[in-house]
Amino acid sequence: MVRKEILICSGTGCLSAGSEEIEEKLMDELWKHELEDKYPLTRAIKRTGCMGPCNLGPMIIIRPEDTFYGNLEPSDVERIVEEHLLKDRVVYDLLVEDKDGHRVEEFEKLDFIEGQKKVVMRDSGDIDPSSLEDYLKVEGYMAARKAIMDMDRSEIIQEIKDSGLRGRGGAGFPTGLKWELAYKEDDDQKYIVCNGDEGDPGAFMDRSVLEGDPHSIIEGMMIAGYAIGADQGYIYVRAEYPLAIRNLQKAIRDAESDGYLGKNIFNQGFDFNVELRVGAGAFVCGEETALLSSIEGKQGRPKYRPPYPVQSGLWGKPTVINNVETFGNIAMIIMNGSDWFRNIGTEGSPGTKVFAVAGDVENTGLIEVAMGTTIREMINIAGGVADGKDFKAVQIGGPAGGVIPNEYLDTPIDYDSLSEAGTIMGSGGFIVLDEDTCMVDVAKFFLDFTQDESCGKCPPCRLGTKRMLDILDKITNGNGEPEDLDKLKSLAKTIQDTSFCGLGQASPNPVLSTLKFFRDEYEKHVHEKTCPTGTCKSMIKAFYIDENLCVTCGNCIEVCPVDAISSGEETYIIDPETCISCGECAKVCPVEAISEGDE
Amino acid sequence: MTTVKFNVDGKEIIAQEGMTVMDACEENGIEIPKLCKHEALENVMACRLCVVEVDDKRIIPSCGLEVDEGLDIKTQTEKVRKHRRMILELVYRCENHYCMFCESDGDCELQDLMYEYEIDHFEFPRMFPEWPVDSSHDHIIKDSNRCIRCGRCIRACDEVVGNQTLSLGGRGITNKVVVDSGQPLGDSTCTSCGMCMQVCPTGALSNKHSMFKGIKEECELTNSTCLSCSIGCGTDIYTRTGHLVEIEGSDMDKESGGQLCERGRFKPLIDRGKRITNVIYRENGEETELSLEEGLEKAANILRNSNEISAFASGGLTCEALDAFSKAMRAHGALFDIVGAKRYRFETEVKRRINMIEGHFVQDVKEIMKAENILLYDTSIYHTHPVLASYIRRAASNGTTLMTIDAYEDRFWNHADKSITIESPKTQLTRLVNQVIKEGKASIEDLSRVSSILGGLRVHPRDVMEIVNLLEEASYDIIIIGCEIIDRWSLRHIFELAKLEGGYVISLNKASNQYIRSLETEGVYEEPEVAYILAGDEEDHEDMMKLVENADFSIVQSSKNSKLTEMADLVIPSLSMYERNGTTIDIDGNKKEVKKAIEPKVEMKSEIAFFEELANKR
Repeated sequence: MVRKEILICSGTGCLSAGSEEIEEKLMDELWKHELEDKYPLTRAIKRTGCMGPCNLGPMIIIRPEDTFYGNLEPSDVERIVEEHLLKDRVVYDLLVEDKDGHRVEEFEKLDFIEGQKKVVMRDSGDIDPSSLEDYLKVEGYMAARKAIMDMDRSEIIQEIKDSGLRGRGGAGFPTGLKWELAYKEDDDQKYIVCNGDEGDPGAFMDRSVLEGDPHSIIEGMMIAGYAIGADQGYIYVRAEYPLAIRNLQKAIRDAESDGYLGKNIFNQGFDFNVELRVGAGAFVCGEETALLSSIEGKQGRPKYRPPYPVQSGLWGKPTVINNVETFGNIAMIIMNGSDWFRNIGTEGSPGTKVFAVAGDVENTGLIEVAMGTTIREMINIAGGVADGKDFKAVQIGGPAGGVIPNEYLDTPIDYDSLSEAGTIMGSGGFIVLDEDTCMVDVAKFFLDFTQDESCGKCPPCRLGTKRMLDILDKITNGNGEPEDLDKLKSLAKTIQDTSFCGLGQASPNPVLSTLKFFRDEYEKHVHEKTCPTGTCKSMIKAFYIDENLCVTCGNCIEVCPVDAISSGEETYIIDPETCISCGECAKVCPVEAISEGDE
Repeated sequence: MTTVKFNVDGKEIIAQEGMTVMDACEENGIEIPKLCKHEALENVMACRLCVVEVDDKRIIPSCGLEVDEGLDIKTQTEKVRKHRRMILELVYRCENHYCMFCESDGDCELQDLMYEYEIDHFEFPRMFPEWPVDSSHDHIIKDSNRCIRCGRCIRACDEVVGNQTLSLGGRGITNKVVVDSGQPLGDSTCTSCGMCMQVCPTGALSNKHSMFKGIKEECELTNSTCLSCSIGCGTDIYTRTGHLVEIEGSDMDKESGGQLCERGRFKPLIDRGKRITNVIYRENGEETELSLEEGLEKAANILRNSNEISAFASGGLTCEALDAFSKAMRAHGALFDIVGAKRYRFETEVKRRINMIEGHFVQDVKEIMKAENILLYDTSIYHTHPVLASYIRRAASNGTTLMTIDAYEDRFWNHADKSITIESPKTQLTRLVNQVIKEGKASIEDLSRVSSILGGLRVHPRDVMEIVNLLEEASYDIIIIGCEIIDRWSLRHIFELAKLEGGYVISLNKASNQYIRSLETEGVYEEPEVAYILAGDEEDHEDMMKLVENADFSIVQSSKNSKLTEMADLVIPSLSMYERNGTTIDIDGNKKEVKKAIEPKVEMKSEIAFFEELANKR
């Protein structure tokens, strides 16, 4: 019998779904069946980084056959061990169903995985992130070896430039060009900084890469360091990512002790060290100048550019600052060449992009697709809109992005097409919204976030967003006035034009794009004082019972969560003061005597 | 120097390369509104009011935009004005600005702009945020309701004063200026210099002693020099109806940043002691009031009839007053001394003995900010020369290594990189430290001998060795000697160290007017027949008190009632610091003008005439 290997996803998502319990149970079972010789525990069970389909967690993959079991309960483990490991028989009813209802055996055949193209996420979910050995097995540090031993510094930069790689932090600045600018700066001290301050609500791409494949980021930074002539790198991670921090610390330590970091790397006289900097979680620290201030030990507030960090960055020295995902691409480009990379994706945006897909879809999680994949295809990969509901819009780009409605579903995902459609690539937030979502509420959610995270430096962002939020509050509470929509627009214009940094300049985007595509919904809130989706609860009027229809069955009294219904002689009565307009009573009324609004 | 040509509002402007558009516009008389930019402070581009339209498309703050050939700038387009009005309304309406009830009404940059942009109605309702008013400080009221978060105070505290007491805390709408980690201002690391208040554009930080005494426009302005210490800061003195209203530091565009200290800015506004207007003669417990003429006669009489006269003057007087006083006293055969002069005499003596040349002394105290290492003997300068202390803090914040040696207490504890404090007299300290430094130089490894000496003082030899090494390595050291070191041996030790290490020396004494360096002085009789004291506006000096106590007859000339005047047998009125015209000489030897800001409130219109007459009545 072939010795099997069990990969258990131990990304933060699966950990909170209970993967540790599954792992414990697995070990118990292996012990019970005296399988410790065949499956030495440290070898057989491998904790990996995020595998991607987060809503299927906890999940395991059994190799070599690549059988995937998801949504596991501890009670399932016994059968997997007895059937699959001992008898080599797949436990069919534990396999995940595809959208046609067929059970899928192999991980790669999952709907969720099939449409993806993995470059950055290549090793996450495949290797043990805490093991340098594992990373070396997947050609780890080969790219660095190649770059440092066989390539000129200018050759590396040319390769990256040729690849057309653009910054994955959101703005899409050409990475090769950034490196070249830093390379040309004449200074004996330069720095490489990895921006891991991921802050968009719901986005966790960077966290997963840092957790699942920390060495690949270190390798990317090394190559960058060699190319521009820097000997020191910093990885800035937020304190809310303890697992990423732990794995990174281990990775840095291992790389140092095995000579991949430190002095005279590969005997080529190149020195490079990497240090971790843990941020306290301010959203604005994702902005590069604020991040650099934070590393310097100052308050994380943006600084004026120019000078750009490549001219004067960390402690006034030339600094290349790239996003985690950008660094994740470097080793692959060096190994496979720029032509290979250009073959993926589109002309203007080669390569792939990782998205954190969330919201009203069947399967949430991380999806890495080639650029140029349409939004419709993305949603299909995620299994379509959940519960068979209708699609309404997708929010891309986080608090700085916008919504894309039905008619733009065939927009290909690349930097230029998305900005044409009125949103931005951003760092990779992708929230699908179904027909029951109130777009005013969505705008309010994102604006509330930006207002909360505004650093306070400039008035348009600190106060302007508050004013906009107040207006949205007013609208969703049913007090909106017709001129409020114009006020929103004129505030947005000032905020966009005059805010100091990207956080402020982009903060009105969620409002503007919802206003553009769903103006009717805003108008309904303002003019008719109703929320078409019933999301804005405070606008809904109390329910009442039509005394001519009521049969006093008592169903409504039973379901009312706030005891607003009392029994009269002929009919039941809803106390409008107590009623919270949840509508539960109307649902259970057999004669449809209950309806919303004034009598 | 390269110049560039560009257009502003259709007018061609030529400016130097590297300038900002705002500065170039201001040079050409084109005003652009601003609330956060300030000449004394680094530019942070926070308020966004200075936005201009560039090349008819981009909106860019002019304070951050560098001039460039062919730029087309428009400063007053409808779009730009609209943005400015919106920002002004946001700033005004989101906080609790009520001009009618604000101390800064009429002196407020925000209010000026509200008028300029004709904002007479508002689009948005008031928000009524709840902000605290902090009145815990002796001199400053911090009212967050009127704060616009321009950050000037924070930058002033950090960049000019080097104190970092203030910072911005909180995100979004909760953002506000915080003191230390949330302490009340009166209970913080604040040095009470008042710089934050001076740069505040609104009424968020105001002077308790100037409140509601009148707006600046209605005051008379006198540019003078502060006589509180030998730094001689430039002052803008605002007066109204013959009273001091406010004192601010001038030269905000210069390196000093226009700062003053608590003594220079606030103390003169606080009325201490009753003003002395008449001559008072005390005999056998009885007090008689005399006219100035009679007083002069009386003083002359007494001086004439005694052989041992000690004359002692404050160091905070003008050169002219000191000159006239010394001449009068010399005419009567008195021995003459000035506060701080003794220290200077010792210094001269030591310099001669060890052959120390003037080249070893710092020519400009602002050099402190360029030093690699600062060795500070005696940290009392924190109180005696607060502005100099700010230069030291600024240097320390910018990477200069600060080493302090003091008996008792290190007042730079949170800025010093290396601090040695012991409980012992200062001479012993300097001797020991020097011995270690010198012997350590000879044999750095052999520390056992010095260890035994230092052990008794609870100083670790390693600390001293570190200082030696730092001084060895650096090429530009400045050694600063505070005024409390007054013995010859200490001075000698320190000067020798400076020679040995090639350091530059700043030597401070208690006299504000360094005219003491050119005026002949000598030690006075300790128990004279007559003591004649000419006091200044500072606190009573110990040596003056002693002289008055020990003299058979004492004459005190002073502007205000104090312990000293109460002890004197004959009290003669004098002018106060703000009633004199004259000059003073600062620590760097520069002559500076002191101007009369208010008319004398006493009969005596000129001390010089008084002393000349006194000299003639020999």
